[in-house]
Amino acid sequence: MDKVRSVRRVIVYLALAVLILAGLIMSIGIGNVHIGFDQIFSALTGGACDEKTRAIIMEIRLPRALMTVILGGGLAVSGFLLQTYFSNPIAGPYILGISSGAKMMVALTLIFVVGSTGRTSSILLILAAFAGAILTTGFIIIISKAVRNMMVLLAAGIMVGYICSAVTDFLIAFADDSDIVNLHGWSQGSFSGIDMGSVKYAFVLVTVTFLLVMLLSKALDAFRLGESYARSVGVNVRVTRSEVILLSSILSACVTAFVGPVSFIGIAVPFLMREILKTSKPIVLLPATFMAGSVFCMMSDLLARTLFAPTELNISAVTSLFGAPIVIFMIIRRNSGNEA
Amino acid sequence: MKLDKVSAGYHKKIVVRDVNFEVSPGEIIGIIGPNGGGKSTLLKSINGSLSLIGGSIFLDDLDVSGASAKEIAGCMSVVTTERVKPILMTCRDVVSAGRIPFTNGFGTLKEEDNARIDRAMELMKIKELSDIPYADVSDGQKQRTLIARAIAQDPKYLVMDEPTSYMDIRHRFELMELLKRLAKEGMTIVASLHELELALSYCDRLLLVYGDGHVQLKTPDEVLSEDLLKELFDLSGDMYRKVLRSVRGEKEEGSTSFFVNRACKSFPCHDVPESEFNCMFCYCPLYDTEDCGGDYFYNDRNIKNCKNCGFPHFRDNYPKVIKKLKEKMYGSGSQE
Repeated sequence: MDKVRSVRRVIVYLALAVLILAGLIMSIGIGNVHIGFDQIFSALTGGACDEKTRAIIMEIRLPRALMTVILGGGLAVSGFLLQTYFSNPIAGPYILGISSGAKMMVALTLIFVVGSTGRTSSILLILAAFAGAILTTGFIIIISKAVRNMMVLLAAGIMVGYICSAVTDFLIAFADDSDIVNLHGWSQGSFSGIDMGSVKYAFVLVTVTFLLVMLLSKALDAFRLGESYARSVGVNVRVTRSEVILLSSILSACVTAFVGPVSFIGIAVPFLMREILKTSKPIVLLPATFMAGSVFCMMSDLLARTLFAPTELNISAVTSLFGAPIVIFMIIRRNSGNEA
Repeated sequence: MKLDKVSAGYHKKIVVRDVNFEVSPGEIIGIIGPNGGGKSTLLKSINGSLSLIGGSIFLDDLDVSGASAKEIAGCMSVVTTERVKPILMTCRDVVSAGRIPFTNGFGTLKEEDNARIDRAMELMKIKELSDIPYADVSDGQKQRTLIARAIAQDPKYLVMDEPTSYMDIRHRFELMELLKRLAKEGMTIVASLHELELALSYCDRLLLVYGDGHVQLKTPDEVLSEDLLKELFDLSGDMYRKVLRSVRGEKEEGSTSFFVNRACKSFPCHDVPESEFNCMFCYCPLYDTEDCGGDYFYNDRNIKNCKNCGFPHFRDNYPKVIKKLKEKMYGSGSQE
């Protein structure tokens, strides 16, 4: 059994690594201007390359591809953490209204702060999205304390999402068009126009957060048998819970702030990885979830911008199209016998 | 382990009060009492998952209320009544969770950990469940897996809430035998039990938790001789007699229909193998050869023994013998 498991792990990790590499090359190469593999290679290694091509790669496609890797991974891990926290496999930042909360705060910030000062910065938007994510998460936690029922919790999350969207819509209705141009683009959820500066911020934030999550993996492991058994093997339940929710919020806030709400990656990817790796052991699952989130997000983004080029779809349209059927499949599986 | 004036309960509402006792290493303490009386509450307080309302609990020198979960995990493991639903964990994975307090930051299992996991699984006889998903095994097997998990933690104190639930009768006895063995190796065991006969025959002392929240610590003999069960469970006279009968019966080698007095000076008085023997036959009326159609003789110790008897004096035949006896004493039917 252990041997079968480790062989499976090696294969899955290798496959994910290959997929990420292939995805990167495809994301950089495919587009309005097709760029060959040799040119990508020489542009990245600083070899001889056409200046225009180099500019396309270094300023447009590479940052965008890297961002999908970083944020897609972050989003998947964020979903994984929420699922652990709520011991509920379909918890995710989008379903629980966390993305909508972040969006509301971003709208507030864009209209009242940016609108009046005329200045915008990614840090400001990240902080706004973070505040929104934390607020909604906190609200969901309060509800989940009162009710342990999964359906009630999800309903509450969806309602919170609606409320936040409603508030956002009010704001938009009374705001100047110039202020909300940004918001509209943002709330569509899109990786277009990402520059290297944002990539650096996101990289640092997500990497640090992910490392902290990895440090929690032993505690999360203990959580698999529920809270009281986790405590009985020496896990400080209260501290771990707040760490989990904080890290998860940072990750989803980060994604929402940079590229807007992206749906389903947080739910579908952790589920897929559990099924493929046939384990729920966090230390095995977390890196794989991150990598698979990257692949999923990168491929979705690639489809979003190439499928009906030059029209660009919003990323959630693509992730929903592939993610939602996975989630439906998962719910059916859960209810057909595995519940006992 | 020492409990000093402990009051336990939820949200400042006291459920169990004024618990004072000291447990010595290798002792098995059974907690018995009616439903809702606070057995679980007390156990939760002992393992630190419920903060005390008053008093203090010491594990050796460690004050439970001030100790971190990690410190407690180092010397105590628990089995709760909570039903766990882990996703994609095999039974072995569940047992491995008991080693978490002793692994490094990444939870890597070393050789010693694996050895302890294997031993715990062997003790609970769940070796063959190793690779089977926990979600797919029966409730009794789940319970045994969780107990194996607690044993793998290699605790000084093993605290269990109704460990025998979901188990069949044989596994219950096996578990109690195992606990006795672990206790002999120095493990201190505190467990709430629903089966009085198990509690009375395997525990060194019993903590009686009454419905009104007061407690009493007694030996099994005292519990029986002072008729404490009647008040503890608020039984009517008739119910109590039935309880006593079942409890006493279980104490006698597992059945009420026979007993063997090996200390008897005439033992063995019959030519029946010991495994079939029943001293009830001392009162057998069938030595009267008219009834059984056989014959009798005196053996070398000058004890009357029968030969070619029509009522073989085996254990299973006892009801027939009794029937014959009754006929002889009261006459059969309406005759005479």
